[in-house]
Amino acid sequence: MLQAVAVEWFKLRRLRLFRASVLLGIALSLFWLAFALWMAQRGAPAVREQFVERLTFPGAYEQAFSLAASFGETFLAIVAATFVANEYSWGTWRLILPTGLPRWQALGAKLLALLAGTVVFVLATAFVPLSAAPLLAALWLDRPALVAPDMEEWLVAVLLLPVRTVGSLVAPVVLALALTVWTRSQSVAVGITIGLVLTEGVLAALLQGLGGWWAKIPRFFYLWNAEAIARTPAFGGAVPPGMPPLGQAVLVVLCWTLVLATLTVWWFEHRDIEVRSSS
Amino acid sequence: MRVTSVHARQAPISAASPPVLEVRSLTKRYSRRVVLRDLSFTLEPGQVLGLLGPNGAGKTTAICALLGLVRPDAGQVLILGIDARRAPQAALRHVGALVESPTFYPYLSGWENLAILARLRRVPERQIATSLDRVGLTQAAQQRVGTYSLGMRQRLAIAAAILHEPALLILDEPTNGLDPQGIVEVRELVRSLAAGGQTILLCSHVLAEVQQTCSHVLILARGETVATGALADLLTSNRTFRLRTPDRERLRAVLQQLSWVQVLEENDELVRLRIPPDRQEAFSRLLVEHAIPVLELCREETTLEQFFLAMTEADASASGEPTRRRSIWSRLRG
Repeated sequence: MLQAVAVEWFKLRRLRLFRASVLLGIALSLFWLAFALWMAQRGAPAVREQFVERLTFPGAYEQAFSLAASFGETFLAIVAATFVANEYSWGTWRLILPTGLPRWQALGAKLLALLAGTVVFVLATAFVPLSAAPLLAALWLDRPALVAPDMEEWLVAVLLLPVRTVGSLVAPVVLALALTVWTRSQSVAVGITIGLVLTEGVLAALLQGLGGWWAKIPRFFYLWNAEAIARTPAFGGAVPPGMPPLGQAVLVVLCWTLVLATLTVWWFEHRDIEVRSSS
Repeated sequence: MRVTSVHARQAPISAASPPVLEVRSLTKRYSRRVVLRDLSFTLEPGQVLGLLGPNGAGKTTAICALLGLVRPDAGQVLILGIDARRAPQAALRHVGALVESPTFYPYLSGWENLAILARLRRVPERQIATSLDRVGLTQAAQQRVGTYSLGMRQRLAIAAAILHEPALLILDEPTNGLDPQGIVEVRELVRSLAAGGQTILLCSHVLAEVQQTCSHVLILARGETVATGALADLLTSNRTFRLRTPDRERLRAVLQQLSWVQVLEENDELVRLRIPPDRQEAFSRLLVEHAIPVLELCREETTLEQFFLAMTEADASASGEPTRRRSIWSRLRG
């Protein structure tokens, strides 16, 4: 299994789409940084204060991982779907599977490599604003980089936030992977995953607005709960209205992930690998 | 491509050693359509089996079933006695395969593609260089596979198949897409592998190539086995004779007494006959005994192509056994 994971990780990090996604994540983070800096200097006083908070610790830390989670939902879903769909479109399953590698291991290795890719994406995307924001704040805004440090209180939050961000991105990755295996289509998988990323939040708000038992339905939404894992404030503060509590969100995401992974492996184990006959 | 004498690493063969490949009653259906029906054959060490059949006969399905890509509905595949379905990792360790058109990761180099396989098969990396050298791709090893021509990909696929020196080599259309020189080189490579004792299952539409390379053949038509056995035996047992005599009446009288001679064609002075190999001498003696004048008596060689066409076309048009037999022999005449 370790060999298979190493092979999949090698294939993923050599994939141009993955590299481009990481670079695009970094570029978008830089763009946000420039925008925040501009707003912190030129916006209305209340707005200016909000952006200054996001450019100084601890707000900058939370903001950096929030950006990684936002971009990651879409980018990593596309990467995951492409990474699996390529095996079908290039026909490379018939290069890998005749080595005797069990199918569950082939799929499991892909998932683990994608999770490693998620960690790389999150750290790379968060690193840029994280490292640059305090410096820029100190140089341009004449603010101390670290406001009222209380490391004892923050330590757990600082350590947990990257884990939470990666954990929240497991959902779109697993969903995209599962949909690609079921449909063998990259576009269908990407379309459905991004569609759910965009609509689950709106649908949840709509159902909560209806009240009664309708309001309970969003508790079981996969991506909405995943988003809640990333969006729950790390350094205190109120949970955004309508967001599920962190504990519940983790449980729901975990359950969905296990169900989807099990169904996908079962499906993959029992399906034939098509070979387009040229004869 | 450099063709060297290759001695494949074979599993130790003892008197009681199992066949390299044993297929028992392999059946595959796609909904109601049976694409492979009750396929059974055995491949002993050193044998080169040609798996033949027209398009849609079930050859690729059979190969995919052997490699675990397709789940058969019934039957068993044993590779060196190991059940390929129950213990795929242990069984497929002994198999190298090229299935249909070669498939690789186009954004990786030839070397990297083989390195992936070497890692999964736990083969030392030095084997990659040996395999690439064997198929003449050393110079292009660091190029991305996306830039390879079809012929280069085909060679890389062969390198991938022989990377771990398997006991069984499955080659599905290995000369597909190659230029004439490439075809000759791959043919030489396959022959040298076979000469080195490599057990090979070769699937090809180039029947002349199969006839030159294979010791055994199995012909599939519409998912069913229509002929199987040693190539020489199949061609010999279906050998025909051409007899020219001016005394047709006397010959006819003699032939009526001989149930083992089959008359395939009669016109003017010419008669085409099928005589079992063990009765050929007796037949010539009878001609002498009955004083039948013979202007010409010659043995007609049956090529694999003729035999294949006879078998497969007969199967396609057969509605009953007598029609089928006529059709077979009418094809063999050609």
